Amino acid sequence: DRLTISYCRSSGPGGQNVNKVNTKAEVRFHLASADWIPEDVRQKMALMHRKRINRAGELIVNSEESRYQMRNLAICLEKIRGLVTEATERPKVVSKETSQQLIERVEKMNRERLRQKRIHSSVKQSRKADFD
Amino acid sequence: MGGNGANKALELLRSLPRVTLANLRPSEGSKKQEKRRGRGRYGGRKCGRGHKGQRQRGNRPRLGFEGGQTPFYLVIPKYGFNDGHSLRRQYQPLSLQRLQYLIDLGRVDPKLPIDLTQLINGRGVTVQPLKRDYGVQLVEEGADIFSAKINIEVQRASELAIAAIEKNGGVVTTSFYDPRSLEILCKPVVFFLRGQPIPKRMLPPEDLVLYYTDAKNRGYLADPSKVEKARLELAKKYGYTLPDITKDELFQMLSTRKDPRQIFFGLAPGWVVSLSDKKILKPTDERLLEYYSS
Repeated sequence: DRLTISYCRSSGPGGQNVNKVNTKAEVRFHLASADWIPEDVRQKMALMHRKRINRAGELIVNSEESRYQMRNLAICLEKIRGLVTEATERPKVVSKETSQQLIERVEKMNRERLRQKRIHSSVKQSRKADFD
Repeated sequence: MGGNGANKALELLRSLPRVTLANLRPSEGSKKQEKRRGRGRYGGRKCGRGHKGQRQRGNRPRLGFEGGQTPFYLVIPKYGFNDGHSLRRQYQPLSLQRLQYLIDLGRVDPKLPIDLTQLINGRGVTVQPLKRDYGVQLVEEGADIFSAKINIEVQRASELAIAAIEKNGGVVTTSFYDPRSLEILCKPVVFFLRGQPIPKRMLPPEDLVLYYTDAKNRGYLADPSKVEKARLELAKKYGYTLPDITKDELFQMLSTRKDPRQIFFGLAPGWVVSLSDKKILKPTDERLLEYYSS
């Protein structure tokens, strides 16, 4: 209802069917006045998807992947949902304790690896028959 | 303009001579002359057999023989593409375009619940229960053009097809018919002439129980509340407002469903329909009633 949906003919091969049947679905909405998206998410989307926004400030998403109008519309809506969720995700905040633990884990792994390597090396050495 | 043509045709009928064998001729290109060998300069002489050799003498080897080299059809190893093909369930496809065509021509009535029997009576689909057909499946072709409010019952339906029907305010249900019930459903008159009581419809086998208890497929064994939720979800996914069928004038017709053990609308299992007497006989014995109402 707040999205402007329009259908037009898709591109690509297909003869008479592609020429006559409206299957490309395009959904556009004015980003700045979309009150169903929170303000900060809106700004983030304006930054991230600059290429999809036209001069009038409308975010345009189109799809011509399927042969059916309804499916193309569903794909458009899915894409919009994906854009919004992408913009909503926050950067992962790693607390100080867990970051220290992570560093300790990495060091432990390296130490263990070098120890195993030394053991393996001694095993191989013991198999050598060196006759002086 | 049409009236003028009709008048002209009637005038012609009055003035032209009587239609006889002498006045008739087949349409141009419909009758092609057959090839007759051994007659005349062109059909005779070698009679289309070529010059000497196995060809002329009729001694060519069997189809596929490659002169001793392992033929193509034996070089390629076998693989189980067709294993158990005679046990696989087949569903006759019914596109939404064809359904719209049938409704527009008046062969299927949208004011009544559409059943497999209605489709077959309107010669919309041909189902062969003996060829491992288990019914009809709804296919998306014509989903954009579809605009009819119907209560339809099929055996399988794809998501887009369900969405297209519900968008126009209709109702879809998927239900199971075992082969015997399917045969009865496809040819009811032949069954009634046999004089046997209507059997109860069997429940689906293990692999299909999950399919028919799922609300997403609008299965007949699924929870009605879950079906409502699934309708809303589908409307959200495909971006249309779900029309409220409770406020519809045809709500009663749209909400008629068959009982899981029922084969025909209005006829219960155990009844005997006699077409010659135009009567329905119902069982009175307790045990029979118990059996048929299980």
